[in-house]
Amino acid sequence: MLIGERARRYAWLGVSGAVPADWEVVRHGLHPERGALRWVDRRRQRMVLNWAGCVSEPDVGQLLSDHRQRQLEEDPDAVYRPFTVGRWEGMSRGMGEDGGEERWVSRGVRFDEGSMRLLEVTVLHGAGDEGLLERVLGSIGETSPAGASGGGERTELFGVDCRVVERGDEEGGVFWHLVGMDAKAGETELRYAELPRGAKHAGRLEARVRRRGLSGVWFNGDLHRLAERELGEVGGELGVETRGCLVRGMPGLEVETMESGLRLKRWVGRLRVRRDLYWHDERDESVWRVTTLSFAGSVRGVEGFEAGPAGGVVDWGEVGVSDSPQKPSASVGFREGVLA
Amino acid sequence: MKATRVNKRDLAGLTLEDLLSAVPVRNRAVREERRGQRLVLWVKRKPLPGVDRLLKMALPLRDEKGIELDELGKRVWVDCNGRRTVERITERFAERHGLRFHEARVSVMAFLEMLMKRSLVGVAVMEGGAAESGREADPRLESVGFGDGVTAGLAEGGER
Repeated sequence: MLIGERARRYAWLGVSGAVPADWEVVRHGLHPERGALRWVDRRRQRMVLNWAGCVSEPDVGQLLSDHRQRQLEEDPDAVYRPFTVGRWEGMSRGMGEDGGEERWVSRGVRFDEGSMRLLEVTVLHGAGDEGLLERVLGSIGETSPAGASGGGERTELFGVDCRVVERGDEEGGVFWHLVGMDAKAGETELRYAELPRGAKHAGRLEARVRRRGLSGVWFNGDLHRLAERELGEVGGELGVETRGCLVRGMPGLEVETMESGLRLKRWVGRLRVRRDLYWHDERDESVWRVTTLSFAGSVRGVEGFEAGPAGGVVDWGEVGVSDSPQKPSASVGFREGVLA
Repeated sequence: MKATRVNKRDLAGLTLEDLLSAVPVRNRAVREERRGQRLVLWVKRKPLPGVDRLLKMALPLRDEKGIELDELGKRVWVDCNGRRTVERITERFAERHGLRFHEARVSVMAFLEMLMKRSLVGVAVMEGGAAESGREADPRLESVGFGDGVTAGLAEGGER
């Protein structure tokens, strides 16, 4: 089976779906109200997923019509084909030939009532490859409310699959929010902050989930020594509490230290407790580290995260049928014609 | 199809298509020395005109300079056999270390550029391939017709 016929799942800020296995995400937005994800294949950009928060349901048909009008003003000879994939409405535009293959850019739009967001997917594909568009759009299920991690928000991108495990709202409706992401070759870090509902600024509780790959090259298997070195760099002192553990059967190490800072801050209780959980995943050739910085007595710690390598390549049939009651993957129809 | 040797200064001007289909070729004058898991590559120093002989008389200067490669670098060096393209070398690197193609490409390209700067490898680009397809000089990842979308005019905000 060709790699283009297989899929890779993603989940980001409440939106989840799948793309062909050989597409890779290269850009990401972190704002739940507005942002985009961009995928590329080996040579060019292939897909953009945009989301934009709306206060009320927009007229998708009108938006598309306005957009088409703007495009026609720029290029009156352009060829357009409208399409419908489940609840997605959109249009495809011919982009001419490249290397003997006719290329089309298809733009699908859908309003999501659950998250009050307008989703827009733009895909570059070949002339006879409407099936790809159907699969990509059909895989995008219902999304959760923008930025709400109350249901255990999942992030599956850049080789990491991380789920926030919430335990109700014991602390007055405060939830972990994804606020940062760094992705380098073989290294991914997700940063979370706790943000009370309605608050504009994140609180002082922080969490980080870090995956470092290529462990066969740089890691000798001694987690204790690694923790000692890393905590030394940030001014922590190893030894407050350190214990070996197993993380899903893999060797791990839990470390509890105090944030470094002025003695006065320590006296008034302004220094945070740093909890680190390290583990080594030999099969994935990676070393994982979950860090939480919280005040003494906080129930939120490293156990609030489930993290592991992102799922591998699956068949499109295994991606999962969309939650949509209209089963978008079952109804795709291209109406041939030129709009003018 | 004819191959053209590319000067290291020209590398930045190549399209992504050209870069992926280019073939790194080792400098035949490089001497290899194994030191346990590591590999040291020795390459002749370019003599300084005039002063070189005087300096050599006064100082114990070597005729060669050495570059030590770690395990990762060694495997990429071995893969540069004059037949494999950058794309194939990147694929092999990604497979070996469980990386995605794109992140492996960034690492492999940076490493090959370093080898080129030190005159350890040259890069042959195939003529008649993508180099003549008329693409922009440096798109790296080409964006075709994506432009402003339907959501462009909606709520204010921005990517964090």
